Amino acid sequence: MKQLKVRQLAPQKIRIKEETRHFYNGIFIDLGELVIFSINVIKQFFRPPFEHKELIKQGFLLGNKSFALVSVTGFIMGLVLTMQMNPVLADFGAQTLLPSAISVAMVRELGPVITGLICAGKMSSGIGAEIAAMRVTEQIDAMEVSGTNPLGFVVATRVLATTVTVPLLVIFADAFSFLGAFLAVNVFEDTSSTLFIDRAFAMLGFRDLIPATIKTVFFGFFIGLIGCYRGYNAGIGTESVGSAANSAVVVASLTIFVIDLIFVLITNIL
Amino acid sequence: MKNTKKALRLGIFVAAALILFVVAVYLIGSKGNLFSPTKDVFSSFKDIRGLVVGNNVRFAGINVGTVKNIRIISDTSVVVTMSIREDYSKYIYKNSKVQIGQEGLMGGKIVLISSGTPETGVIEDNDYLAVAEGLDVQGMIAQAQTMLREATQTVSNLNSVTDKINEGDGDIARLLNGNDLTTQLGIATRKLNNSMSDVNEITRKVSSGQGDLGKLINDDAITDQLSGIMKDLHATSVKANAVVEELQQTVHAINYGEGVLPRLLHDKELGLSVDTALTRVDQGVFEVTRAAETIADSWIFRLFSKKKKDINNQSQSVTTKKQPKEFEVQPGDTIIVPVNESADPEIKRSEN
Repeated sequence: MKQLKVRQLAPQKIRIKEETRHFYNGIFIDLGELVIFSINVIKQFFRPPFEHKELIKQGFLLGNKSFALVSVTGFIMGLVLTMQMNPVLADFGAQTLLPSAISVAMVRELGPVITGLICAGKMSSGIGAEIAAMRVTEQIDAMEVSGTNPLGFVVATRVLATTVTVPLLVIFADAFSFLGAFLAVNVFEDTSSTLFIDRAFAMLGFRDLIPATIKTVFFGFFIGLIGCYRGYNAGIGTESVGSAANSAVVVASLTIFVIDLIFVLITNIL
Repeated sequence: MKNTKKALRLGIFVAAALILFVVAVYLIGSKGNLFSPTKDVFSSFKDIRGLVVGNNVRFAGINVGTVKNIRIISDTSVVVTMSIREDYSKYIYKNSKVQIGQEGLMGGKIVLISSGTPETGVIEDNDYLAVAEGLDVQGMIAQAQTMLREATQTVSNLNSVTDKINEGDGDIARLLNGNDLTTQLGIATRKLNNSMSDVNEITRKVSSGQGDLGKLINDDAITDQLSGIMKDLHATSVKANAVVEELQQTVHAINYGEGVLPRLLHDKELGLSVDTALTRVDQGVFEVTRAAETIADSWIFRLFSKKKKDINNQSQSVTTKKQPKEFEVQPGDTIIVPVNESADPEIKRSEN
């Protein structure tokens, strides 16, 4: 009886082990392929023909269309953060530091990360699904056959568009978070906009602004790159479209946190 | 056309974001005096207490610059370079002093510049400013610790005092715990009240003019009499003054005048003359007396005498007078001594 159980469980364990090995192998394979893919995409940035019209179109679709979402999120973030921090700072008698605390928190960390996550959700999934659909419907193959480089036309334009628009969206998110914080501060006490801006920028320095901005460029690049990679390498069948969109969001979000961690470490060293 | 519209909207989006970015850069940069001319001044501190590059430099409560650089020169010297905006630098003089302060309990460090005097001139680029020692939070904590120690000691002393009071040791304890003192105080207060009532009675009598004191205080006749007495006394004293003045003049005349008395007092020759004269008078009197005795003893005179006994008595008294008599000097008598005799003659005082 016992021997029969062992015989029954053995193939299952082997199967789990194989799946685990495949999973870890798959991660490293994916990582390697992503590096190769990103090198090819970067090469396309400097290789003519430059797809200006497609770039403008993608910039509009990815940037302008995300503006409202990002602005509202930033506004709410500023509002909520102020309302949450006000009682804490009031306990220390440091309410005057509220605008500075909000500005530093938003510019250094929350603005880029929250905007990055929103863009990962909206852009990366959209790009992944769109390119996966193109792959499923063999439009990518058709481009290759017709002599159009899909990496240059489809991927490079989208990656470049996200690389440019995400930092801009972060700037808007920061600005709207300041607006939300200003309104929230005025709920507790009357503060002039001049005083609020003065206090908000009192503790801000280039050491806060520049690394955060550079960080968002990488966020944008990887959001576009991961979306394109997942869509470009989508399998055959309509279910791969959803799978590509889903995995693009997950991986892009995770990548944003990893990049954020790396940048914080670098900034602290500097 | 559709693509152009998208490009326009994208352009507006990018431009707006870039403008916001530029504004942020300007606001941060203006805080660090990036876009205005500045003057660098230095100060050497022993301890910069956590001051970092970028901290504000404040003069008269205004942020006039930032800390540009911090260099450690030796183990006791840290040179801080301060970048001060030129439009504010004209108010900072060369003898201004700097110290490191704190921007509130929660805030960071700042450099505070105190105002100097115009005689020394306005600061120039690369000038050094002297350092004034300021009190930081750690210093305040150290002072607070000292105060707390002293307060603890005071409290323990107070505890000791209150313990002693509770245990009934000392006058205050007896005052608080015992009833003897309060009883005695009660008695004393009663006596004092009685005394006060007596005093009140006395003052009432005095006020109503009863008794001598009352009359003295209330009656004007006594004061009038006293006034008259005082007037008489004054007149008497005026007369006494006149007498004294005359006496002084007389004494002066006796001492320094030219009459007989001054000479009698001060002239020895006159004294001798007087003495000689007196001696001669005395001799004359003696001679006269002897002559009178001779006459009395004569038979013619005795013939007419009634009682022999009286004559005998008289003869005895004359005999007594004949005997030599020693000088008796009374206080206030003037003694005239011949020049050839001793200057310190022996004087026999009478018993009286």
